[in-house]
Amino acid sequence: MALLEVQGLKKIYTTRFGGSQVQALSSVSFNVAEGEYVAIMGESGSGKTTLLNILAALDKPTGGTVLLDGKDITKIKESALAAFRRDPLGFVFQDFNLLDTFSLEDNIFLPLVLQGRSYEEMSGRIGPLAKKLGISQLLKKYPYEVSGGEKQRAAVARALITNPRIVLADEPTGALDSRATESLLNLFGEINEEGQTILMVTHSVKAAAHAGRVLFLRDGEVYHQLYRGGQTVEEMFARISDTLTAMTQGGDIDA
Amino acid sequence: MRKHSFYPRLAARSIKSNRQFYLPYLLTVIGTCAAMYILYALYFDPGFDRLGEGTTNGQVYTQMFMMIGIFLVTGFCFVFLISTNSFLMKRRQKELGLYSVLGLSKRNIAGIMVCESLYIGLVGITLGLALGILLHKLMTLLLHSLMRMPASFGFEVQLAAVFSTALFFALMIVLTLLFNLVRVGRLKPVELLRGGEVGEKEPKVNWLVVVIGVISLGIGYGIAVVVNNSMIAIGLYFIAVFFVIVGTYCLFTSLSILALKALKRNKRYYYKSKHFITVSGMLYRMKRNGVGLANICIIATMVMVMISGTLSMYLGAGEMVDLSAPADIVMQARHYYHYTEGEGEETRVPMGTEKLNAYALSRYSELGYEPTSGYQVEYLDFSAEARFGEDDLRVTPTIYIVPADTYALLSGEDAPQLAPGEALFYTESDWWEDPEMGFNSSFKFLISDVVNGRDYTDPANYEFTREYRVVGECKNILNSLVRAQAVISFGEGAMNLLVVDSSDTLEELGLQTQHGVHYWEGRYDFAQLSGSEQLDLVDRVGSEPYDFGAAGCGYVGFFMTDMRASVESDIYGLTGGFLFLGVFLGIVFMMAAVLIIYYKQVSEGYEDQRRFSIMRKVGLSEREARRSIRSQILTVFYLPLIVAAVHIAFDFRLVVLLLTLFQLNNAALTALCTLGTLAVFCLIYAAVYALTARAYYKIVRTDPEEART
Repeated sequence: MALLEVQGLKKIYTTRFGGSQVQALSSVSFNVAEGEYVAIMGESGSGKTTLLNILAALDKPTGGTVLLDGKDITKIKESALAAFRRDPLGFVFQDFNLLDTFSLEDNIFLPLVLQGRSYEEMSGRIGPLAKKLGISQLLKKYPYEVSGGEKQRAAVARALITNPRIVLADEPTGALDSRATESLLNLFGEINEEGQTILMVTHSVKAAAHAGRVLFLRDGEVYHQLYRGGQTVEEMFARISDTLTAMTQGGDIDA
Repeated sequence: MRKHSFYPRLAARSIKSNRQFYLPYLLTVIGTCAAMYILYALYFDPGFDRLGEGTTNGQVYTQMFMMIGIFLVTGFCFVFLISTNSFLMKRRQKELGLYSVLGLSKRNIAGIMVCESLYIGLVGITLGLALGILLHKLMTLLLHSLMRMPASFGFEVQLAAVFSTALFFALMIVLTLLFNLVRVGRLKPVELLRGGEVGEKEPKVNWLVVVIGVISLGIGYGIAVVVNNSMIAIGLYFIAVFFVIVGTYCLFTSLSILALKALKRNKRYYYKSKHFITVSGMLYRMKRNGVGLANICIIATMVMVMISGTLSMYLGAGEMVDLSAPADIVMQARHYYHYTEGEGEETRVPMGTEKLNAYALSRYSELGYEPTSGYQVEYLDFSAEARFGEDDLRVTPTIYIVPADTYALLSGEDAPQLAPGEALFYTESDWWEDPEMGFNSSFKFLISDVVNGRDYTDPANYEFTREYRVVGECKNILNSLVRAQAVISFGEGAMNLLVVDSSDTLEELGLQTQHGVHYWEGRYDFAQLSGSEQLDLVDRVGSEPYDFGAAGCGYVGFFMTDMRASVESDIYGLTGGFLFLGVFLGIVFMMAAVLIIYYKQVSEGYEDQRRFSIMRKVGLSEREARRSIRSQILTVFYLPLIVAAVHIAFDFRLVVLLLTLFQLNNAALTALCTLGTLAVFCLIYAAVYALTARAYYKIVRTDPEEART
């Protein structure tokens, strides 16, 4: 059984005054197996963010199902949603979403605090994690005192510290320079190799090229997908670029 | 011209889109404007045009109180409107930056500002004056009923008041506009666009401020605890207030951070979902909002002190009247034994109190009036020396000597059976033990008793020629004797009372010592006459000069008639005016406190919006969010109130002391008024909390990203 099963997902937005309807997702289906590293690509307006919001239970679909470990997350009660977001899921955002009033350490502790863990357990978990992410020296600093790449590492630590079933990353490299991007993507690769399932939404070809599989969204549907197989990042990069070119030209893809 | 419609339109739109901030500001302008109009209108009351002839005390008091009120409200408006305006402008930096980026020149922005000020000024002043005119009549009736003045009817608009108020507020608006234009002149658009998103360092504890705060508060509270004398209290009161205010500001900004840091260091406490968000949020909040909280705390204290103080004065007015005028008409004669200038030997002749009563009554019966009841009292005031001594300003203790029958009348007890040479004695001080302060006359007590916990049996230090054996203690008539003194009683405040056997002894003492004032009072009730009829009667009786010599009395150095009716109108005029002013200003200041609280909640709401949105994404449930918000707001909200209550607890003693200056000796009444004021204030405060907390929740609940689109 796949870790995440998305079946016929559909989302229609009604504009505020009820006039017109906008279809963000028409029918999206895909599976993510345990330990997979999946990137979802698409242009602005292709429905990427909507899809991610639904997976994060921040938004309800108009139709279709999302099964995580066989449980339909679209049916989770309002009262249990917060627990769902903080227990099996870990989030990495484009703009980090770190709280300025907390040190990096406290930011990383936040989900554990919300889970009600003891301080001893928290401090036991953060040590090895911070070491792995290379932020051990920065834990006492505040978000505005560190670089973007370091902020994003702290955000990754915050996502991983709960040992989530799946990490959802929304344009994680969007606000980073190329060096920080490279190092973050390498980090994602390492984490994935250790068995962490990652689902990343991006429109950066470079970011997607690090993934094990790339799904292409267009007009609210899964338009195409690529498997890495044994290819290098560079080869993957070229194939993704080709695919995107083909998509924008509107041709068929039979690569 | 195109430009002419452009500025007003943009200004109107800008006010509309910022209505969350501008509406309360406008309401404040309207409220203070109405308050100002009412004060001016009462001040310019046409009834006072004929000042001089026929002007009552009440009218003079009204003018005095309104003058104070106008003065205070003017100063208050000045500070408050300017600071609120500056707060509003800070919130609008981004908007102004955007205008600038969109290509509006500074001149254009200034044009918009001018139009905005024009709108706010026109609407605020017009509505404020309208509200003031509407409420003026009501306030007049209220004031007159509090001051027990006859109510005047009719509805009039005071043009002078309209003009003064409009002029003042127009000046205020122009002044704030000038501030805003200077701000626009310094505008750097790029910085402004970015403004507000720069990270802030965790606040540090400034130990110097903590120390200053603790010392200041210590001094302020110390004064309140230590001072025992009403005269010293009046001198030190504002010094204590100053120190408490300084201490409040210092401690709100520093001690709060210190406490929160301590909580944060306790990891097991800090890393609980309930405390984690609250403590960290408040830590940052305190740095910026400590001053705001201190403002609220001080305003709250001020309002409560003002209202509870004036209320206890007003409610104690009846008591003051009873004390000052124990009967409808009080005739008082004084004989100064030490007075030797001019009159020569004649002054040594006592006034012959036994004949005074008959003479006084004869003056009334000549006009055909008999008192329904009456009695006479007399006493010797031995503090006279200190008051009349020219080069010796040393404070000497006051001693009253009372004959047994007067004591019985004043205390309501049976007349003590005293033989000549025996006395009752009561003292509140230990001046007997201080030779410097000694009673330097030839008057001697042989005190054979332990009085008030002290042994006075050794008279060796004093040279008295007359010996009295003290046979007991008496306390309960002191206050009714003090009334004969000036409203403000000088001296140590400590009183001494000696009860001797007879009136003859008083005269003998006076003659022998050649000092002291011998008082005689005839207290008569004329129940058949109304207050104004009594005033009339006294006028008629007084039209013929008193001739004591012809009536066979001794020498009377001073003679006067007190009327309960005029004392009543005087005291109610004073206390009613105080109460009106206290409550009126209390309401104006409350309005300010409400506005500060509202702005605090709203601006904090916007600050917290992003924090809570992030935490929700990471898995903070709605219930937890609500709970942590509530505990945070509650703490921040009730902290000033609690501190204000502590301030008031310390202030209470001083207020009681100060009220004794107005002849009010009723601490229980003051305590009741203070507690009542505190309770009402808490209720109003809670209501304000509920309203502003709603505004806060509403802002925090919206996602900032959604809010942007």
